[in-house]
Amino acid sequence: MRLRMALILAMSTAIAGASAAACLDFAPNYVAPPDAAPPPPPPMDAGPDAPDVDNRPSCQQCIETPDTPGPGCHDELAACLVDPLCKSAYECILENGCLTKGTRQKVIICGLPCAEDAGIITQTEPAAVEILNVASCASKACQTSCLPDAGAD
Amino acid sequence: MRRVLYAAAFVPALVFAQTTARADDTADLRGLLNEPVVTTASKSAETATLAPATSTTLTAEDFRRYGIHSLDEAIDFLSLGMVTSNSLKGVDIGSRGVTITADSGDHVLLLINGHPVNEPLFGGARFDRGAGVPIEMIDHIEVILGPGSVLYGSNAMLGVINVITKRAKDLTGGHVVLESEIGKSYRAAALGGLEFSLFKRPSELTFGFEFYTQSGPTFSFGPQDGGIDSVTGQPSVYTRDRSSDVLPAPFWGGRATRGYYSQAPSGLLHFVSGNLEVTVKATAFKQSIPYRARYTAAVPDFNDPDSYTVHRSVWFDARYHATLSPIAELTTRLYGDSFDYQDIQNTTSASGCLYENVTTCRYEVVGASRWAGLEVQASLDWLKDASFVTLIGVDGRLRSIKSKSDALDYGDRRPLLSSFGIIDRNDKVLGAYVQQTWLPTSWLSLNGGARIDQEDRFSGVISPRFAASAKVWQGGTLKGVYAEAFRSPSWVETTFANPLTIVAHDLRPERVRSVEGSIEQRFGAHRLLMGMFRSWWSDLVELHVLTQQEQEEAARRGEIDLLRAYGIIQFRNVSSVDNYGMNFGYEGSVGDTGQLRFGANLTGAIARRSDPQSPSQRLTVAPQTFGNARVSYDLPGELPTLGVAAHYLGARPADRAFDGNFPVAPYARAQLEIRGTVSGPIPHSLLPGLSYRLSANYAAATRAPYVVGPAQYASTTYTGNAELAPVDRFRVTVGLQWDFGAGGSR
Repeated sequence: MRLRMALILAMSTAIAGASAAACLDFAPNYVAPPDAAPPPPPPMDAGPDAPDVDNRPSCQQCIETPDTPGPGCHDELAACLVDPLCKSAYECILENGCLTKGTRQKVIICGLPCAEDAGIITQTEPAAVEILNVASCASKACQTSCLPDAGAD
Repeated sequence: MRRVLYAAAFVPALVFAQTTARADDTADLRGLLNEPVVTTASKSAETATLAPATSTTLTAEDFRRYGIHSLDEAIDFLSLGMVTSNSLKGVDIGSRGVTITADSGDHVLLLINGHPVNEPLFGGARFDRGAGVPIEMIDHIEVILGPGSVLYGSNAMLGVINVITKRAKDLTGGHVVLESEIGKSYRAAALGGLEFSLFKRPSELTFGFEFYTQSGPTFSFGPQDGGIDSVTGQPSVYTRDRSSDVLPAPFWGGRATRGYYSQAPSGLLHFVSGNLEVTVKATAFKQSIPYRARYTAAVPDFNDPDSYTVHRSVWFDARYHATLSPIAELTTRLYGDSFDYQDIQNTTSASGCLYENVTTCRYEVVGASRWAGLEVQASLDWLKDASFVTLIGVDGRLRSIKSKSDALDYGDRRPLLSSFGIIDRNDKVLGAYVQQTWLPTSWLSLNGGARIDQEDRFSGVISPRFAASAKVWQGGTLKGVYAEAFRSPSWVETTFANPLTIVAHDLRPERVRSVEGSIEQRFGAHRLLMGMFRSWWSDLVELHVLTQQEQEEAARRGEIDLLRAYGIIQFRNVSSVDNYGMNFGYEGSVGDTGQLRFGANLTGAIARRSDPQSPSQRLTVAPQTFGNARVSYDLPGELPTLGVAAHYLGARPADRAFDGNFPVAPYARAQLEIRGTVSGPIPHSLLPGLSYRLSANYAAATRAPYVVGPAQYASTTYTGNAELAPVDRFRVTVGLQWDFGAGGSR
């Protein structure tokens, strides 16, 4: 009987141990915030001798082109630029090169911190609506230049 | 419904009229012997008739007769006043018309051999296979309806369920069980019991180990049109499964061939030596469901076996009973529990996985609660005849609660964010109670008591109860009970935060007050019970979806990031419930040995929920009428026992019926589930002691009241009606049991 009891107790201990031993890891993960955005390129010399070259990314060029005859999003952008929050977010997006990311998902991921830094806190406030209008227009009228990899999302 | 109740009141009466005419002394004696003795309602042994609550006792014999495999099945097919609802993810348990959707079972206190198993992280307990008690090891289950905090503290709002395991004399020898729901599950169990002498004290040991595994059945879901993903601008993707089982983007659904399974190893050991009693239990329960739903699994990919939850628990409970004098007895209980939890959800939806170069996100939540405590209880039998007894007890415990959440890249398990939703707290809980029972005459029983519970998060909560039972005529008992109970919000409710959830502010314990009256009549081996009840619930904690204005205010306070999330929620004391109704119960037996047995229970209840922001409405998932009926017959000799049991649920509003804005409010149709069981010994087998159990289960309704899939709301993308969770309609279960050694299992 002792052998049987020992067997029983051993089995019990094994079950209890299996439950308790495989402890979960509660040590928090820490992920460093993304590196600061790369410094913007030095401003072009706009003097009279400067070469007449448009160095804006093609996406930005398209966005800043008038809607008509288009393709462009100038009207949406103009509405954005009169709003200080939207203007700040747009400038940050340009500085961070978000418009060259190639897919809508990457543009959003890149642009969200800009919106936050600009002080936009909700998706429904006017500045957010204005910047989203720009993005929405860009994804349609300027898809070829702004989202060349759209199918890769 | 009035007609249903009226008819139900008559049916048992007619059976009475026919059967009592033939009642004889044997039946009277059997009736007395069969009168259930309960220990849960007042922490002392007493007949159910005099206990200060309405109760039913579900016995091992009935589990065998009616093919019962788990706690929820026992509750549904055999109990009075309680009911469960299965979402595949787990069961919601309700009582007398009140079911709190997706509450993890935290409004019912579950005891195993008197040990509370509800844990403090979620407050919940499992009533399905995850409970982890081999059904063959259970002697009986006491189901106590109504508030029970007077002796048990938090969580005992809807009732208390106490699972009592068999003593060694009823489990002598060894027992091996093999069982299968054909094509769906397998279960193997080994049980045993032995009696011996240890240090000259009579001692005994019982144990049971079980492994249960289930896979399927294969359900079909959808199609639900997800439209264009707002992040990618491409068709919505809901799975990374590229097989032909799943529907192509933008649709959600297909055949869930791999994503519905569970595994549950468990073990329980019960040791008694003299006045010492020790129970040790360990359980693990891993489960995957194939669908997503707001309250149960918000984001997992469709048909994903790698999205799952794991619950594990191990505990011990040691109690020592000492007789100090002819008047005073002292019971000391020392206990320790460990519970942990993992929730893994992998999502390929771009809007749910907004990280660069990450295709699938893996969201992991881990949590643990550990607690240890000491309860000291004194019983003072002042007149030495059990007619005037005072029970005083103090229960103190220390708890540790931990939880954290992570977002990882499914591909390489790389963290995408720092851990969030971190809880790392310790606290103390202290409860003190007193109960006075008084039997001034042979026909009157009075019971009064109160308990105060204090914990670090809340000021003291007092839970009183007063009950009176009077034997007013031969076999007839009138009973009245007033009781209050509470539930401390779980630590998840008070402390958890994530990008979608703002931490709660100033949550208060939920409260319920209840008044009930019943009349019970016994005729020989027959028992008829009719009861009326009313309860008032307040400060119910719910997930409140913040209004746009509230969200913007929270964003300005820096509590949430509205650019990345919407539909922000917060646990709040939101609602109240007004509940009333009636119970009917009847059971009896006929024959020299009671070979023909039958019983039925029916509950009709109204429960209306109200909150400051919406009109009064029905409780979701909760049926207004439900009940069960059963009949069994023992054929003579080695011939089998035949049993048929049924349980009924009235139509129920689905969990999203009132907040999903669906064109038609989703309701689950009335459910009727019928189970036929044949059980008995296998005569002339090569293995003496071999017995079998064969049962077939059929459910009439195809859907349960839970909205599944991404279409949790009607929207511009999805304008159809809600899709409800499927029901496993037909199951055939075959089981073999081999009893060997000194004797058989009772």
